[in-house]
Amino acid sequence: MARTPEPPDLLRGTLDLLILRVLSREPAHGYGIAQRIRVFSSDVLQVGESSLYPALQRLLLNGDVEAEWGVSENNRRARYYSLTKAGRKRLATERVDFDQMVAAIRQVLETA
Amino acid sequence: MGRFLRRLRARLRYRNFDADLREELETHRALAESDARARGVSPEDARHEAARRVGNRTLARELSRAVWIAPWLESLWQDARFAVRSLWASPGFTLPALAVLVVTMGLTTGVFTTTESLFFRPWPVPQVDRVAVMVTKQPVTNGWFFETSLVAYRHLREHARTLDVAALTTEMLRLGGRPDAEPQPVRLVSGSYFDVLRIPVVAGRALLPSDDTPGAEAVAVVSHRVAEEQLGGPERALGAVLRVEDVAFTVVGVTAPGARDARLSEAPAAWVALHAKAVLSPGDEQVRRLFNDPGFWGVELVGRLAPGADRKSAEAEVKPLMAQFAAEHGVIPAEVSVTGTEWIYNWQGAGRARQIYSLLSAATILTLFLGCANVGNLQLARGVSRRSELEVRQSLGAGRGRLVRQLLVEGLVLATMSAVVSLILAWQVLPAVLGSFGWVRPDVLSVNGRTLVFVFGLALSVTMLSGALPALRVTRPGSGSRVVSAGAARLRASLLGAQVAIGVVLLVGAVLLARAVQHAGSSGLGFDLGQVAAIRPFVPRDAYAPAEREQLGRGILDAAREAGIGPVAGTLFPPFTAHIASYTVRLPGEPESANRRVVTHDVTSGYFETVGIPLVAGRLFSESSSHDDVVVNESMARSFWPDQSALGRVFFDGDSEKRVIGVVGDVRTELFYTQSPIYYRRAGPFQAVLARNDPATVARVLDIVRAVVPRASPEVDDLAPELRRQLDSSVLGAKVAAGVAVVALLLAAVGTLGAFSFVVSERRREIGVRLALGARTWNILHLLAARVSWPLVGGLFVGLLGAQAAGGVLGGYLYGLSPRDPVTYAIVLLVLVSAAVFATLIPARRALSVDPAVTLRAE
Repeated sequence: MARTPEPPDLLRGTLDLLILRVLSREPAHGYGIAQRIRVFSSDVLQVGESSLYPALQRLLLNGDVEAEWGVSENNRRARYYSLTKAGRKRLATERVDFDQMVAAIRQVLETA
Repeated sequence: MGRFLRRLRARLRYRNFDADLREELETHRALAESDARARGVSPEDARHEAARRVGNRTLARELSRAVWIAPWLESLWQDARFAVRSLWASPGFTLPALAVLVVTMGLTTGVFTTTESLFFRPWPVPQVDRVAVMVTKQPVTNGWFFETSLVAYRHLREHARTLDVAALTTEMLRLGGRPDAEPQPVRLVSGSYFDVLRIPVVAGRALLPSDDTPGAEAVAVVSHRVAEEQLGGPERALGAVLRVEDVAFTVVGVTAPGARDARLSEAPAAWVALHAKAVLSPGDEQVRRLFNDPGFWGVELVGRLAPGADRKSAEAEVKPLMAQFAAEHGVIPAEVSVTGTEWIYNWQGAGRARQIYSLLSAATILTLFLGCANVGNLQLARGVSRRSELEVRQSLGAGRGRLVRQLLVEGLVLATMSAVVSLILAWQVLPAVLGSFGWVRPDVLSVNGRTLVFVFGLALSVTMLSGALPALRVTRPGSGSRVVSAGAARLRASLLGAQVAIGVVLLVGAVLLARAVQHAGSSGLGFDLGQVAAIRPFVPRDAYAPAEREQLGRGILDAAREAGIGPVAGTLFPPFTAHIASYTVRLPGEPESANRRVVTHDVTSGYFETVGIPLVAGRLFSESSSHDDVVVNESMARSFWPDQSALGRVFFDGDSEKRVIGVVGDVRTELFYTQSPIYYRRAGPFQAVLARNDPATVARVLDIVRAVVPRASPEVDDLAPELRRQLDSSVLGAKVAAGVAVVALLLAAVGTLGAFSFVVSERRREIGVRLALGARTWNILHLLAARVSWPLVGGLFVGLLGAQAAGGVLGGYLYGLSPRDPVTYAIVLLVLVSAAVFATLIPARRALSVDPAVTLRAE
């Protein structure tokens, strides 16, 4: 039984941003979101249930996403999340913020 | 606001978040497992892998739950802690607000506890949920009565299968055979009574059906108290003889200590069979009717539901049975309802107490509103003076909703503290206080779960009522300027006006009630009560037969007239000593069912002259008048024969035809709530002689009575104290109303004082400047008064309008006093003006003592 090392928890705000970004393409269920983040990050970012679901609940509570029960690819009942108008707006602003932040960090790292 | 709504919507939409999440995580696990299998991991390993993540899933659920719950509770807790700190830091607001809330909420809780204890709880008998009470209503009387006829009871008893029925009536009788003993309640009950109510008997036996048969031995079950006090304890009581009035009863049983078969009325001293009524009042016409007349409503009905039956099925059975009974006996069909003992006091017409409590509740709710307006103004003032703090918090990112919530939580903390105090008062103090008035038995009053729910519901409502508007006002965006916004001033004025208006309504009500008591005790009677003495020739009932008693009475009057001692008369009941005997009569041509309620008085000739009732038309009785010739009062003449002369008219009382020979003026010889139709008929035997109330005359009458009736032991009744005693409950009602009104007046005065003080402190600088520039006292006062005068005048105006309406509601309690009684309004205006002067004088003095230099330096 090999232990797969868990990647360090993503920054909280960043995870929200990633989820919003994934959902901006199409609605997805929880497992699908985790898979997509893993695939798009070339297996670097692995999101565990204990961070994914609380983050989704937070987004639900704030009205950034909404949930709808549907049927998954293997014929199970699954909850599909999709972006709301408010979520789309938030994605746009946070993306700008994030870009600025990353640029700033990089600038510090390169010049200091 | 948008964010708040979004979150609220999410909370509503995803309220089953935990169940949803559990299923979702299960889906997640299944998808992960099938993926792993697709990647070539063995099923075994895939399951292990999934199982390994169980802990993860639990954590996920816990963290998710925290997302929904934690922020809400946590910030609420934060708010509460902050509220306590900030209230603690400003005692100038906290103490008055707390005082107002404790007084008003305490009052409300007290009234609630009393009302709930009195009217909404079942009787203390075993398995009371199976006990039913039957109430009846005749189509014409339009009120519910407990009584029905004994003949109807027998019919029900014979045919009803859903419940076991018992009949009862209660009389105040003297125990122990002494004429001077205080009358005590004795229940006359059917043989089934103890089976139905299951009152515990600790010695001997209960009453049995065989005890309630004609000619059965006279037996009694006595209360534990009577056994202890009068018969030497429960054991020795068995077999002892207990005299009830003049009749000897053998005691066969003793009930458990404190046993009672109703909650509020005094516990019965003894229980005897209904048939004992025949030996207690032999030859009495009423008794004959009780046992034989199917239309004579003389008993109350209770029942115990049969196994499997409920109130509904019992009612479904009883209704047709009663209809059948009415058809068989040719009596007016009465509507029947089967209800529980806890509702018995709630039936319409079930007594005056309930109406008095409704009035008291209404007054209390008004006081509560007044208190809320008062606290609302305090909060507004505090909010305005806290503006800079609120601004700082707003600039640090607190949303308006958050600030409003913070202010409301502060209010809630205050209200909750007051609720706790109110609860303690209702629990510990109320029974003792009300008990000390001798008003209710202290053990009837208690707090329970309902009280708890009520008090905390009250705290929430008070918070919203007193806090919502001020909180919205002071956090309003753009109201941050130093000058108090016009909106806040308007709100403050409205709250002040509301206080004044409510105060006026309550004050007018209280003064009206107090005046009504005074009115009833003296001027409102229509005759001079102090001028009339009643001499009761106490004749032992078994000494003379009714016919003999009539003869003797006539002899007394004849002798008195011969002696020339002024007008004398006989009456069955002296004024203010009788329960109102009200009968139903009908006019010729009207059906049996046209029951018109009237009051009858049995009097001899000379009654009207003796009491001082003026003859309006026709003539009065003479010695030779027929018993069917009657005299009616003006109220009856007016309501029976409107716009016509009543003289010579006839009406039917039962089967006998009565002819009106005279009309007399309306006077009050009983405490009617409104003047009622009365007809006077010539008395046969009578119980009291009325004469002029002066010592010489009274002494002569006493001598005559003793001479004519050797076995009499005559007593003199002073009627004025009797009336006062009957007015006791009204006096108490007036006192309670006065208490509520004083509270209201104080609150309104303090509210005015507070609002005025606030205006003064708000304009301190302006006043200083004006004084420095040479303004006169008068100008300053004018300036200040302008700010508070319109809410005062407006409140007064609205209050007077409200008082008009309230006076209409009180009409039935005023004993004929006009609800627009000018003296009342004069008193109220005087009190209000004094209160207003007092409330404005203190802050005004402070305003005028403002030192311009100091004020300006402080800037």
